[in-house]
Amino acid sequence: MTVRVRLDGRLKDLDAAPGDNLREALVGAGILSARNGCSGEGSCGACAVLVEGRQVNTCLLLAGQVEGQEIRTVQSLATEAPAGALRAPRQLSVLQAAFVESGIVQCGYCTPSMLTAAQELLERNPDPDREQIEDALSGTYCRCTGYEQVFGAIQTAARRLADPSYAPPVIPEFRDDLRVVGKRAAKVDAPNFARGGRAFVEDRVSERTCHLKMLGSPHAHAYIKRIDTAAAERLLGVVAVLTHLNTPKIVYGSAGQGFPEPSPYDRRMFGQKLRHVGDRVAAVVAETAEIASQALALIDVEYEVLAPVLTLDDARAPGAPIVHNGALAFVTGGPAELDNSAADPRDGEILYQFPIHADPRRNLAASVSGGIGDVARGFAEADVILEREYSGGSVQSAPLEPHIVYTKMEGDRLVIHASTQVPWHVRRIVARILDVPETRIRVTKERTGGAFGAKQDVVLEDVAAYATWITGRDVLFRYTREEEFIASRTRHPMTIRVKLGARRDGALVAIEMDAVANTGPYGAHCLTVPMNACSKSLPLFLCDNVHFTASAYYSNIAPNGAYQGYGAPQGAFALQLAVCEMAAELGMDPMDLLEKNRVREGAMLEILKCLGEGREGIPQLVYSCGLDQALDQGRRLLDWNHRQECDEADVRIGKGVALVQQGSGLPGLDSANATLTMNGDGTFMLLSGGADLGTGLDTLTTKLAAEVLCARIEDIAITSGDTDVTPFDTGAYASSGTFFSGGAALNAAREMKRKILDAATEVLGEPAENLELVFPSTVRGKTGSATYDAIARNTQSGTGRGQLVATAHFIADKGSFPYGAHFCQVAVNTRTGAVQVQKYYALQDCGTPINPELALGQVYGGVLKTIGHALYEEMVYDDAGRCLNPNFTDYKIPGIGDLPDDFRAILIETDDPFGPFGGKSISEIATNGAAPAIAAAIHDAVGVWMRDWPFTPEKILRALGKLESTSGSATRSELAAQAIQ
Amino acid sequence: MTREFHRPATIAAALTLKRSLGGDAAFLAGGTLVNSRRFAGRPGHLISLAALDLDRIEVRPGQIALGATVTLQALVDAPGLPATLRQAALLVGNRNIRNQATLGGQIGAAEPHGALLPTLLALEASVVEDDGLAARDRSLEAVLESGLEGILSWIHLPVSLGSRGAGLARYARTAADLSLLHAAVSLGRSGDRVDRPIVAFGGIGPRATRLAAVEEALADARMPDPAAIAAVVENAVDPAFDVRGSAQFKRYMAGVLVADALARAWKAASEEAGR
Ligand SMILES: Cc1cc2nc3c(=O)[nH]c(=O)nc-3n(C[C@H](O)[C@H](O)[C@H](O)COP(=O)(O)OP(=O)(O)OC[C@H]3O[C@@H](n4cnc5c(N)ncnc54)[C@H](O)[C@@H]3O)c2cc1C
Ligand code: FES
Ligand code: FES
Repeated sequence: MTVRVRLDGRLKDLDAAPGDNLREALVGAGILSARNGCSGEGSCGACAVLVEGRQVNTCLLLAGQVEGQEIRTVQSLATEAPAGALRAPRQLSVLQAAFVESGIVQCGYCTPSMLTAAQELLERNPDPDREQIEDALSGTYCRCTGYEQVFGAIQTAARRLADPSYAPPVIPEFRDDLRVVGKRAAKVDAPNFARGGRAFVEDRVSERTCHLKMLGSPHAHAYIKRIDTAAAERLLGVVAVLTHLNTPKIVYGSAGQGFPEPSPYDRRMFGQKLRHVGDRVAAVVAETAEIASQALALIDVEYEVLAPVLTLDDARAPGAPIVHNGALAFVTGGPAELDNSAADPRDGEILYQFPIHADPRRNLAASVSGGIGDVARGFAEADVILEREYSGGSVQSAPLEPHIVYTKMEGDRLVIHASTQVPWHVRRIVARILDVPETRIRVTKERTGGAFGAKQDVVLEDVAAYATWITGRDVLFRYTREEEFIASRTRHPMTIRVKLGARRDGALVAIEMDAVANTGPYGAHCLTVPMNACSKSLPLFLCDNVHFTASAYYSNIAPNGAYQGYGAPQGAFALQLAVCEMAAELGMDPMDLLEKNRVREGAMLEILKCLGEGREGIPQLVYSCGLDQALDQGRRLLDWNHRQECDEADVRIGKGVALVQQGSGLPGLDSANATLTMNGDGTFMLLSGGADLGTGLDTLTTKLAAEVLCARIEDIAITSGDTDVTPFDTGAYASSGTFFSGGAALNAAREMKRKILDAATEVLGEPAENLELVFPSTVRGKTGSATYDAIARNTQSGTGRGQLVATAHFIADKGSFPYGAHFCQVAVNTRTGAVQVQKYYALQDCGTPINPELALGQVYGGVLKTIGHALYEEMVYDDAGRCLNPNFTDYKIPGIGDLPDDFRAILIETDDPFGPFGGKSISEIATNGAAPAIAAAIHDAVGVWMRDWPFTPEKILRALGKLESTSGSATRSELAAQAIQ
Repeated sequence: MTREFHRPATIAAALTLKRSLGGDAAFLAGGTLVNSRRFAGRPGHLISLAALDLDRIEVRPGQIALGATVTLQALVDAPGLPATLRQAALLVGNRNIRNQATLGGQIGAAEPHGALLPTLLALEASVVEDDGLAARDRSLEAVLESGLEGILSWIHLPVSLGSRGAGLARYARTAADLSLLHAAVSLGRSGDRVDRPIVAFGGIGPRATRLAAVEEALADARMPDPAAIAAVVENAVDPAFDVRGSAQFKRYMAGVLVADALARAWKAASEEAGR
């Protein structure tokens, strides 16, 4: 049917079937900005546009419902030019510009819907307050930004609309000696997001693309006994059906880590053994999504259902079902004699690049231990010993754009348009699975609609690539929100035992930490995540006797892997809270105990020699550490020593603090490269291997180059993360972007500078030592000056030395550690168990904040996610291993109404000798503080220690004795199991 | 699969269509439920109620009449409605949904969770259901119990609570969450006694209901202390586990929420009485 509407100011006939929703009809009309974040549940708001001036979710509206109505998308916003005036077509509206400059645009997936919500608000209320903004954006989820900066963006727009000369409130800027580094600047990709432009994988898909849909296992643990795909294959429009019977048997690991990886190769594209609900049984490639779904229903499978392993206790129980009972093999370092006689061929194999101390027959996926000093002696010297166990459940990273890939052939080469953090690892892993040389494959990283670690793995790319390779067809594979919950990658549930020994005066004399992770069905990141729980928390304390063990067990819950923080949030929760508990035991103020034991500038971190990510580590010196300032400022801001009372009878107020740290990439493992080329007019192309996930990495690398080259940011165009176009980079993980990808861009810019000066000697006839670069884009000598434009024309002429091209790489043998202190104040209602975060101050040392407003956005976003994890987010499983809440109605993520009442991110400047212009990493670290700081504050308020996140009202009421405590530490999954029986 | 979309101009035409299409058709108001993945068995025909001219709010003598296709956001924005109704509409915590979902759709959906239905029960709402032959007044409770057969056209409320007061309390995980558990109470105050209490609760059992045992315990009684009324509530409800909480938690919270809503209603009634 045809639905006539006024679309963005023009009459338009939308072509739609009677059951099509408006989102589908808009996509059909070429409007891409109505995104899809929840697969038609109607709960995320990413698809919203203005219908008759009201923000509504287009996935919940039938196209027929809007007949004759006015629809405005983000594309319509820039309409403020005087009537009849011609507007530059790409000019942003006041509101769009305010978004771009405020730092509220990160991955950009939610940006169009945030903008239309804000537009609706400003049309009915030209001067909205915070509460009204909250109300206007209450239906729009954003997983990246933590929302805080949107208040400033909307209020700035409101004021500028009234008074065009209005200047936004200043944000702190850094490094007076530098021109663009440390200063506010528009994120380079933000204007395109604000216009609703093409950016994401789904925007690249051509017509006649086939759809791939996956039949997920209904069982958590089973063998496929028999599978019959004949009926599916006969269906008109089905192009291919893939199963374990007709796909490559090559074992691989999905983790996008540096080769050789410290994760086992323990999966195949399709296995005969199914290890979690949603595991791959069969894929259908068909000409439409509907046909693919119909075909899935025609596949007949007989399963041999096995008992599932769900918890760490299940996995470690004697005689537990074995999740991986395949034959083992080692590339290097395996035992001389391998006994694979008990292996079951239906389980496939496991190949280790090197030993990671695994014992799959006991479900042990990996383990490591180490330490410094002598903990037994330390505990013997201690006056007080405290031993506690801390745990956290399954949480989902929930990027608003689920996993997606689009693959196609170009000539005899395979092109993968990926939403990934690791384009080169994707190429390497897919090449291995397809058994083709890497040169046959191009991976283009598109903008990612949120990644957070989940897109550090090859989750979809292998199967889509294979489908394209064998059929020659374009293939689109996109997860639904439910699949994203049950079959992507997320945070490992972990149980961490901490034992501390302290002297009366508070000196920590021994620390023992035992982190045990539930890796789920496959071992991607299974060694390094629990190890990181130790390596990013133990070095915060200067203690001579430290011992740790880290291990991971296989199970049949949803797959776990990387998620922002990478084990550090779990480690920080355990160790920071244990130190708080120790303070209580000692009768000390926790801040005094932290002060007495914490890391400081100049300290040597001996413990790092045993925490080397699958290789030998090295002790490291702390060259910069902003904790002095962070603790001092935080203490004053929160009025730490003042006990706050509440007028409400049932409400108690408490305060908490936690120290946090992370790394800046992996020295000795990571490597980044960048190339700068000079264009014919003296502008530049920057080709960076780095993968910008919405974090602002492209802006950062561009700014570094602009700084060195004395050029305007606009005169440098960046392309990043494309294996055909840009040089190699290990990828965006382990907080490596600023340090490594930034370092490579900086080195390339320095090399370009050298080349420009060298070329200018010819143009100006002066020796290089007389020349300097001056802004904008000029070489000045003692007698004259030349613009880059002139230099470019000279070098690129028929007699010139050739185009100026500079390539550089960056590696490091030393690390730079970002530090921070997170302070919070909570109000706990002792009758309802509700916890209200009243104040949250995250004070972060990231060295030189290169993009200050984007750095703040990273902190707000990281903190808010983890406030959600600490208070209410949790995937709940029944006893058959089915996730009971794989959607945004039952699994809540924070919305704009869930911000702390007073939420501040504060950047503490330090000067780091290694990072680019002194910059250190910023994003992951922000996720480490919320759980321990909130748990400490809850204890301060009501005297109970919450040692298992999330701290739901139900658990708080149990801890307070208002509800009976269930036997031992009953988890929700156990509760779930009881109820379902 | 929806094959056809209809937009009749009158209630009679809508009902004729529905009758002729039978089970393969559904009425469509805002569509936040009907068009969502949650709606079972996609009907072949959808009959939109948008052209029925029911998106009006009329304050008549002695009565407030709310058209069935009035959106929840319109309830929030309209002047002159009871404060608790506005508050409850706002507790549908997501503006995008409030811009689209209708009051009639809330009642038609009759979902167990949510703030509005218990609140409407406490405010003694009645509804007009049109079956094509006649428009009859029905109590909201009866409609929630047995469902709608015709078209719900109007929702009626007493124009003011008189000297009565109303109060709400809810449990939700996040600000924009559904009210997973919701208590709504209205009452009058005569001296130090509770007069004609109405206690409604949502989130336990299949639909929002009044808690008769609790109303009985409160009627003509002095305001009980919170623990005492909570104990009565805990006895009166029989929650089941789901992913949103254990039965024990829900039972306990039901007591707390009713006690809180009761205290708020008592305060409001006392203020009314003091006027
Ligand atoms: C993301 C999301 C969040 C939500 N949050 C909340 C919340 O916080 N609190 C809450 O209470 N609810 C919430 N809801 C539920 C929502 O409020 C209901 O879906 C909505 O009220 C239904 O109204 P509608 O107009 O969209 O109804 P529709 O979807 O059009 O219809 C719902 C049902 O009622 C029938 N119907 C509708 N109007 C009439 C009529 N006049 N006569 C007869 N039958 C009729 C339809 O046939 C259908 O069976 C949420 C829903 C979504 C999708
Ligand atoms: S896609 Fe429409 S609300 Fe999520
Ligand atoms: S910027 Fe909002 S979801 Fe990424």
